[in-house]
Amino acid sequence: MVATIILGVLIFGFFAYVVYQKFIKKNGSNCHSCVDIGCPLADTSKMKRKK
Amino acid sequence: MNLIALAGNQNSGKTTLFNELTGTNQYVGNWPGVTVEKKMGHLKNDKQLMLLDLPGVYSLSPYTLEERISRKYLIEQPPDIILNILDSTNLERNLYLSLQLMETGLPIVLALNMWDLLKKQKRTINLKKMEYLLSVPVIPLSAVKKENISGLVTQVKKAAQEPPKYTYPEYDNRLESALEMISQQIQDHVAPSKLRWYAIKFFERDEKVIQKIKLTSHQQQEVEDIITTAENIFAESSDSIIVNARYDYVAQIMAMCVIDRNDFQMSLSDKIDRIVTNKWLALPIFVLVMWLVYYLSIQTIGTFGTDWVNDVLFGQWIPDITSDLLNTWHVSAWMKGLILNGIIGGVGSVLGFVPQIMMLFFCLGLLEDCGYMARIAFVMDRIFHRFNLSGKSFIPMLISTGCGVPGIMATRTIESEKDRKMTIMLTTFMPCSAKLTVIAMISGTFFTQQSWVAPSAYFISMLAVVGSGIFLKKTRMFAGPPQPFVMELPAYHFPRASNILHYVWSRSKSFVQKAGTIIFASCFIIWFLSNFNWQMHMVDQNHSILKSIGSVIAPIFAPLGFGDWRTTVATLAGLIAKENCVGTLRLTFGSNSAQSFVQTLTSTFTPMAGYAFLVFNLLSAPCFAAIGTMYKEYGDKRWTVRAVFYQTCLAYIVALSIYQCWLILVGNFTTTNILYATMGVSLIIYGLVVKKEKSSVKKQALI
Repeated sequence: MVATIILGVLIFGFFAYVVYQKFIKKNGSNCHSCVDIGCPLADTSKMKRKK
Repeated sequence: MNLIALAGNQNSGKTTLFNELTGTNQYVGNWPGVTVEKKMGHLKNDKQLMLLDLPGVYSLSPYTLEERISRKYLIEQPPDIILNILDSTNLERNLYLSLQLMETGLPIVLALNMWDLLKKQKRTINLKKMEYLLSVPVIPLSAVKKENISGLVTQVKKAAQEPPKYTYPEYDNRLESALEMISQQIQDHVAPSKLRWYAIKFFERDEKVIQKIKLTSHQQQEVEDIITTAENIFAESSDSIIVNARYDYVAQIMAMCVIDRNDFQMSLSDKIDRIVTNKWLALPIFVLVMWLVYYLSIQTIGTFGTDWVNDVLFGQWIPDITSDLLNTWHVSAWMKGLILNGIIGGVGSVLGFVPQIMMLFFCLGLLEDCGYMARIAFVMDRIFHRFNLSGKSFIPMLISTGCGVPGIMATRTIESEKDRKMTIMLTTFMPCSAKLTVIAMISGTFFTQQSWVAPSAYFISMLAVVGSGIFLKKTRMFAGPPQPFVMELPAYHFPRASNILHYVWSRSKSFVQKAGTIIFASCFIIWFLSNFNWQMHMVDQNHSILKSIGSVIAPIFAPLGFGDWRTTVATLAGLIAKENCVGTLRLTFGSNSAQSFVQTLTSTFTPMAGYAFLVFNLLSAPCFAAIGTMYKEYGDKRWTVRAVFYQTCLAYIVALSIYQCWLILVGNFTTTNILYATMGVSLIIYGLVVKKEKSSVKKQALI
C-alpha cells in the first residue's frame, strides 16, 4: 500500500509537472528541442545566458 | 566592450566560424539561409569582444528578410568592426558584398574562408596586393579545418584596439560626380560618416532610405535630376549603373590579385553535378538515394536495433525486472497495470524506434554534409517552377524532415506572402522523426521484406507537396508567379564525422526527451481513459471512456479501411504528438510482447488498411506544437484553421483513394466501394487537371 502511494505520488507528480511545463507555463515549450533539430531562429548563446 | 559583426554571403561559413570563435553550438546547415536572425556570443577567452552572426546576404538591398536584418543592424546599430567572411572559391561574388560593406564606412576585416579548397582548385590569391588595393586587413583561413583561426583572432583584437581606416572604393568618375552632387544635397540630413552610403542609396532610388530621410521638395527634385542625367549618360537605370560599377571594381581586383592555373578544367564538384543535377538523371538519382536511405534505416540496418530494443529491452528485461520489483513491494494491481502497460508499454514502444531514427538521421546527415541535399533543393526548384512554385519553399521542407516546427519557422525567408502561407500549409507533409515511428511500425508490421513501403511514405509526402502546390496555385488565395530562387551550391566534400555525430545525437536526444515527457504524459492519459468508465470506475477496455469516444468517430474512418475505435483514438492521440499513434495502438491492443502486438494488428487489419492509416497520419493535421507554430507564423486563427482543414481533407482523400482503388484492384469491391474510389480519384483529378487558374479565368473574361 505504501509503495503504491509513493509510486502514485511520483508518477502523478511527474505527469502534472510535464503538463505544466509543456502546456500551461508561459513560454514553457522553449526552443531547446528546436535548436537541436536545426531551427534557424534559435540562438544557443542566448539560451546559455538565460540558464 | 567591442562589437564585431560577422557578415558575408550565404553558405560562406559564417556560422561555422562563429561557433569556432565563440565556442557555441549553432546549427550549421550545408545549405544557404540557415541563419535568419542575428545571433550573439562572446569571443572565447575574451569577454570584451562580442560577436554577432548576421544572416548571409548577397547585397544590402532591402528586399529579403535576411538583407533587411543585416542592413538594419549595420546602419542603425553599427558594430565597431565588420568581420567580412568571404568564400575564397567564389571571390568575385563575395567581393561584391565586401564593397557594399565598405560603402558603409565601418571598419572592416576580410576573412578569406575555405582557403584549403582554393589550393585544391589550383588558385592563388595575392593577399598583400589585395590588402594594398582595398586598404583593409585580409586574413586567409579555413573555419572547417580550424586553420589560422588564431591569426584571425589576433587581427580582430588588433582591429578592435585600432580600427583599420580605408578610403572608399571609388567607381567611374561620372558616377563619382553624381554621388558627390547627391552628397551635397543630403549632407544636412545624415551623419558625415554615413554620407557615402546614403548618397549611393539615394542614387539607387532605395525606397526605404527615401522614406526615412525627409528631403525638401527642392532637394528631392535636385537629386532626381542628378540621377536622370546619370542614367542618360550611362544609358542604364541607376541601380544597374551602381551594380556594374561595383563589378568593374571587383574585376580589377580579381585581375590583379588572383592567379588561376586551372582556368579550363572542371572541378570534381562540377563533374559530379553534371550527373547529379542533370536534367534527366537528377530525379531518378534522387529517388534512388532516398529509397536507399529509407530502406537502410527502416527496413534493414535500423531494424536490427529496433527489434532488439522492442523484443529484448522493452519486451523482456525492463518489464520482467519492473514486474518482479512491483511484486516484491506488493504494489496494487492497477498501479502495476499503469506502470507495465501504460508507461513501459507505451513509452517503450516509441523508444523502440530510436535505432531506426538514428540510422535515418545518419544517412540524411551524410547527404547534407557532403552537399547533396543542397542539390535536391536546386533540382526541386526546376520541378517546382514548372508548377508555378518556388524552390525556396523546399528549404523549409528539408528542415521539416527533423521536425515540422523549425520547418514552419524557416518559411520566414520566403518574401512572397502568398508563397510563404502556402509553404507553411505544405511543409508539415514531410515525414518528421515522429511520423517516422508510424512509417516504421506499419512497414515492419504489415509489409515485412517489402522495401518499397518506407520510401513510398517519403515520396507520397513529396507528391502531396507538389500536387497541393499545383492545386493551391490555381486558387485566388495563392495565385501568382513563382518567386525567383537564387541558390549557391556548396562544393562537395567528404562528410565530417563530428558534424554527422552532432546531427544524429541532437535529433535522437530530442526524440528521447520527447518520449520521456509528452509521450509519457499522453500514455498516462490514454491508459487512464482505456481503464476507466465515465463513472470513474475501473473497467475493462471495452467499457472504457476511450472506447466510447473512439466508437463515435470510428465510422468516419471506415471507408479508409481502419474504422476501428482503437485506430481512431490512435489518430486523435497523434494530434498531441505523432509518436502517440504507435504508443496508443500498443496500449489499446493490449499485447504484452512485440510479436503478439504484430499478430493482433495483422489479424485485425489488411495490409492496405494499415497503409491507409500510415498515409492519413502522414498527411493529416500535424501535432499541436506544429499547429501552434503555424498559428504564430500566420498570426491569424482563420488561416490556421484553413491549413489544418486542408491538410486533413487531403489526407482523407488520398488515403480513401489508395484503399478503395486497392480493393477494386484485388477484385474485392462493392457499389459503395466503387463510389468511394470514384469520388476520391475524381477530386484529385479535378484539383490537378480540371480546375482552371483563377487569375487566367479573370484574364480571359477581360479579353
